[in-house]
Amino acid sequence: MIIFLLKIYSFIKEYIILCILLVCSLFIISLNNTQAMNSIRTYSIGSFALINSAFTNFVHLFYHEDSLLELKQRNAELMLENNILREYAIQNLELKGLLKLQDTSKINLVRAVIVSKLTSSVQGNLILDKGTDEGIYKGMPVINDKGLIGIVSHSSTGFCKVKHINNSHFKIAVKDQRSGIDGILNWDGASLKISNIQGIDDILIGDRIVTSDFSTIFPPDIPVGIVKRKEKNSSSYSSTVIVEPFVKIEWISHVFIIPTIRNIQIDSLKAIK
Amino acid sequence: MLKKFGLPLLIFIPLLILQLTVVPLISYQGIGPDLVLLTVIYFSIKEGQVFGAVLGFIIGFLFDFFSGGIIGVSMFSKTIAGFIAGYFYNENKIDLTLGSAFFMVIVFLCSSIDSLLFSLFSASESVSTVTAFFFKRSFLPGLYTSAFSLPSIIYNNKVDRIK
Repeated sequence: MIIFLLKIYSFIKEYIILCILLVCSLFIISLNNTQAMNSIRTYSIGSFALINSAFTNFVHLFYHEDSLLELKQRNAELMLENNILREYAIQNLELKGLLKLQDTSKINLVRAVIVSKLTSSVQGNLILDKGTDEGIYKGMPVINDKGLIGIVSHSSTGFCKVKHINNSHFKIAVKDQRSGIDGILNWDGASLKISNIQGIDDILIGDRIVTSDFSTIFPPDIPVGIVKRKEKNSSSYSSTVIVEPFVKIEWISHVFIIPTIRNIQIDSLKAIK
Repeated sequence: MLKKFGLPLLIFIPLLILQLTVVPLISYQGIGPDLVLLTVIYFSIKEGQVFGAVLGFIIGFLFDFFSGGIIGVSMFSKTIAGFIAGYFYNENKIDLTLGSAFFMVIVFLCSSIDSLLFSLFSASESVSTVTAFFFKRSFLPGLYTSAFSLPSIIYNNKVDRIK
């Protein structure tokens, strides 16, 4: 009997090993959101990012003239935009003075360099060269001059991991800046979508999509993208809006972190009340 | 045993760095070559099915760990890819397999399966058709990765000639 079993084992040994390895993998997938796994991952990101940062500096040498010219053009556009905003700021200060509201527009941004990008089309992550040393913690929004990039999902000494907009687990409350219609934006692996929207007629192609006041994570009015296409769902009365992001993740190398955590702000406001 | 796994793991480190820093620059719409998988396939053909599966498991784990993705997904897909690559193990034809265009076919097959499994586990993607999903998430990454197996074929061909 034992010899027979041993014969069977030797015959299917490879498959038994494969099954054990696959079961282990599935077990580890199920453990992904545990605290222990998160702390191990944070440590691993920190240690790997250190090596990776040296290579990133080398890769950055190959960024060509086009991006520089694009930045110069962007600077010129911003300069013109800035003039208009100055006027609005003066008006705003006057009105705020009348309403006796506190000025909340001053935000100190933390500049960071992207050390690593994950290639997966669904699990978009970045590793930045700023971490807990610089006061960067989980939940802080990441932006650049064009708009929203993502949110810090883990932070360790010297490095942090950012879940960016091209990540299927990244969902944010947004609104159409013109019509004010709210929705939840998420990445489906191919495009950014706002699903199950009622009143699609009020959203026009080319409308700017910004973060919503309802967002518990992001400050309001951070540009996200523009409406590219509208699709009516055949199975329901709701519709889907396809959004073209302002930020092309593939081409960014520097980002800014807003060193505030929205939830803490809301909590402190509630505590004051 | 340590020596057996030492060399692939040593090759894995620079490939991992390339995968996370350079590959994004040559990727289009998230479709890029999987350099790390090439190591798994290469050593599976050299050492056999069980070695391939175990190597895929270890390398997949390390890749998940350092890339910041869901830990376990690459482990799963690369274990299967390594196991399948091991089917093509033949003690007498190792050099022939690694130095011919057949290696490219094996890389294409294994990479397509790896990408498909990886996408199935990690994606919440809504695609118009199943065919489109297979094409974008399996066929194209497989094709891209197989193109990167060319240097390995050329190298093995030269080694063969020297022998």
